[in-house]
Amino acid sequence: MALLEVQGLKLALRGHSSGLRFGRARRIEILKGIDFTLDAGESLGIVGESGSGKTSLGRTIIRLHEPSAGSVRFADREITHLNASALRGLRKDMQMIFQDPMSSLNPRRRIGPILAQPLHAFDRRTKAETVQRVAQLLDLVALPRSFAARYPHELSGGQRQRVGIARALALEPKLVIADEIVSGLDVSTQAQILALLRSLKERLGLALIFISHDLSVVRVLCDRVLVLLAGEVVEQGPCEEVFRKPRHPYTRELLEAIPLPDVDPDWLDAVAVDP
Amino acid sequence: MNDMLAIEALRITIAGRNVLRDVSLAVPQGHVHGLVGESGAGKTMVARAVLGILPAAARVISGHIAFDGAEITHMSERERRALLGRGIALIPQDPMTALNPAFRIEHQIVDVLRHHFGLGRTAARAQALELMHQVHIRAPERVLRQFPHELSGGMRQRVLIAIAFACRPKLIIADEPSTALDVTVQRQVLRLIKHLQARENTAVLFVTHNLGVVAKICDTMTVLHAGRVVEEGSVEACFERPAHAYTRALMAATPRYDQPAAALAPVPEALSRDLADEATAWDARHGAA
Amino acid sequence: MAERRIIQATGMRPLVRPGRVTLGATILALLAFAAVFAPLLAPHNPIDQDLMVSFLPPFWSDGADPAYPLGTDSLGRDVLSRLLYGARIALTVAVIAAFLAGLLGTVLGLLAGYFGGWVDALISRIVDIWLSFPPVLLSIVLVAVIGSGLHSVIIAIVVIDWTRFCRVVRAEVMVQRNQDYVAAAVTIGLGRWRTIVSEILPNVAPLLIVLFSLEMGIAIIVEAILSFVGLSVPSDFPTWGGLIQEGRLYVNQSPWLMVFPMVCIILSVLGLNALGDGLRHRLDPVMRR
Repeated sequence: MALLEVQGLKLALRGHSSGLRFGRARRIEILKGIDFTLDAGESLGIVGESGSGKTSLGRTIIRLHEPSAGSVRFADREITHLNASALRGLRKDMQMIFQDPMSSLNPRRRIGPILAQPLHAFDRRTKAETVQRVAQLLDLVALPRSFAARYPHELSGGQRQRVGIARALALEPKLVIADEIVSGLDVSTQAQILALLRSLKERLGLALIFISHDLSVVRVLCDRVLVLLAGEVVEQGPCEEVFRKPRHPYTRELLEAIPLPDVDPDWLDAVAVDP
Repeated sequence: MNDMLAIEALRITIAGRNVLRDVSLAVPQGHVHGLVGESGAGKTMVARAVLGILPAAARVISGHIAFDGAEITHMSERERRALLGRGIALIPQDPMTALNPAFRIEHQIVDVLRHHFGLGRTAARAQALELMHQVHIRAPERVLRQFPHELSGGMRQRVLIAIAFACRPKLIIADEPSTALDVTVQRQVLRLIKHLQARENTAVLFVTHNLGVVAKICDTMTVLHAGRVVEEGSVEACFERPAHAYTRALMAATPRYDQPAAALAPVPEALSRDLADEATAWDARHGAA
Repeated sequence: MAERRIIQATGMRPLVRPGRVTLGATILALLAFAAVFAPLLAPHNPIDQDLMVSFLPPFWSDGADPAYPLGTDSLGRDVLSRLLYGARIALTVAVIAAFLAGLLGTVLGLLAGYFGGWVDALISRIVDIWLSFPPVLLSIVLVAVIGSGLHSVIIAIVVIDWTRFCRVVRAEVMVQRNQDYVAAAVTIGLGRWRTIVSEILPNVAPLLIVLFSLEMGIAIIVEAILSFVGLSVPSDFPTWGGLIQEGRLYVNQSPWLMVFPMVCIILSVLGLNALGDGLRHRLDPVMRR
């Protein structure tokens, strides 16, 4: 039984009108009909270069953008055109972790209230229950409980991203969408976050959509991968298969362009100097 | 083979705290030397010390920086400026902000050429066009007329590489030049740097956090941690027989698409603790300044 | 050029200038003190006339009377007392007008910035139309129509200056709205109003404080202008603008009658501007990065 079914999903956003063009601003097609399904507990990597639409896809699924065509079914419910109040109920089960934890955590709030916010948005809880749940969440992402009293800017990048993860898990969602969440981090911090996410995914049975430009990172975390190019899916399949035997030339190009940490004097020469 | 850049036991503090703890490294003529480390390791500080643009609170406590055999550690602003561009050039990290958004590309390149060579406008323009060809930009006339925001990240980085190589410097500091780019574009940009560097026999200090990039473009490398050199040598030696546990740990923590997920291992906490302790011990031995 | 960029990038953030905030806050505190305690501080009733002692000079001149430290006007009223009571009106107008202009402008700015689309188009067009009227003229016409008095002065200032808040708040909200913390608030199920009030508003608050103190300065000037042309409170009631207007008639004979209220206005406005400017430096970047 698929948890999430995406069919023919299209997204068009209003572009900036440039120059002396009168009338309505042009609409730019960002997603050109995306199809995929995701089972409960499964993890899917969405990869692509800048402009491929991978971030927009994540945001359209969670309805931060309004799709222009196609359908999204979540837990057997059509959610494509739900109105705002119906969406709120849905959001309990579908959460997002953002790319830049510095900008996704309100700089004027302490960590405790940030983590308590999703709790307040849905249930009435006593103060003691909230405090306890916040402590649990901090434990879950291996942060000291004392961090509840700190501000986001007092934390390191890796710690902030842990807060982002904790906030997404606060409501015990079934699906988490993670958008480039390790791209700004050092290798060692990145490895810690990946390890944390991997263990949380298994312990909590989360379904995960992991959006990244880095195919190596996707390999660590995902069962399946979907390759986007200019708003279209060029290839999807199990990570094993796609990474070992890419079928589409673009996937092959992407993989070959990744500099693996092996000394290889011929690697650079294999590509033309011209763009 | 003479060293274009030789740094010896460089120690720098910021507001009294050690940020470089006796860092030594050498970049011979015609070599690409990788300077690898995570944020806070001090790699950017090394690059800034060479360029003479340390933050105001930074102090060079001891050590030497020599460029082409001449000491430049405590050069005056004026002397340093004369050196920058013609002797030492920079390929900056962020192609978005390194170009002035208010001027056309042509203006920015011609500016550099006129400043360093005293060329006339026409001569400088011809030279700019030639440079565009050298960095393999397809429609050079059009690109020269454009503003930075009209170019893609890869194009901008090509323009910056052109500017860096414009004055045929002996040493180039490349500060994470491909970090902001897509992998396919990154590969082309690395290829271009390598190509020009080999042709001009330039020495390059290549600052990056990406081990993969180092493996592909560098001849020799230095691994920094907490302002200390933990590993140095040829890239073959460092990647195939890493001497230091931290180098090995970094490699194990780097995800690879060609290996199963289980191969990834975060840097062990015991190792991080040991390294932190060593740095503290170093401070204790040398005085925390 | 590249080197210049780096210097910009590494250059330390402009240091907080506590001098300006302290200066501004001190002046504001003195103003508030004078306004609140005017009845206790003033040596005389500000509207009591005593023709026997008209045109007394200030204390440092010959023939001064220590009972009237800053001298008297043509009707023998005590200048110091009149200035102190004038501060009351200036401050009352400044606080109430700036608050109401801020409230109106902020609400509309929040709506325009957050919702965008036709809401933004509507509000922005109104602002554009508003800005095409010359402000001083508009206020004079307005007060002439609704009649003079303190409340009219306040209404005039609010009607004219809400656009200043509205434009700045709108622009800032648009920036904040694209931050992911707002998207995060939406995904965790916060409603629109809660997102605006409890997420965005606190991040706009520092800006509002700055605008508020600048607006108070402007309100003081506008009030002075309106009372100068006699459109404020009844004329025997002391206001700084009114004092200047009366002093103007005797500028050759007793220039201090005009100088003292002018000094009061200039100092207050300078102080409030310094406070606003200093706060801008102090409140803005620290929390952001």
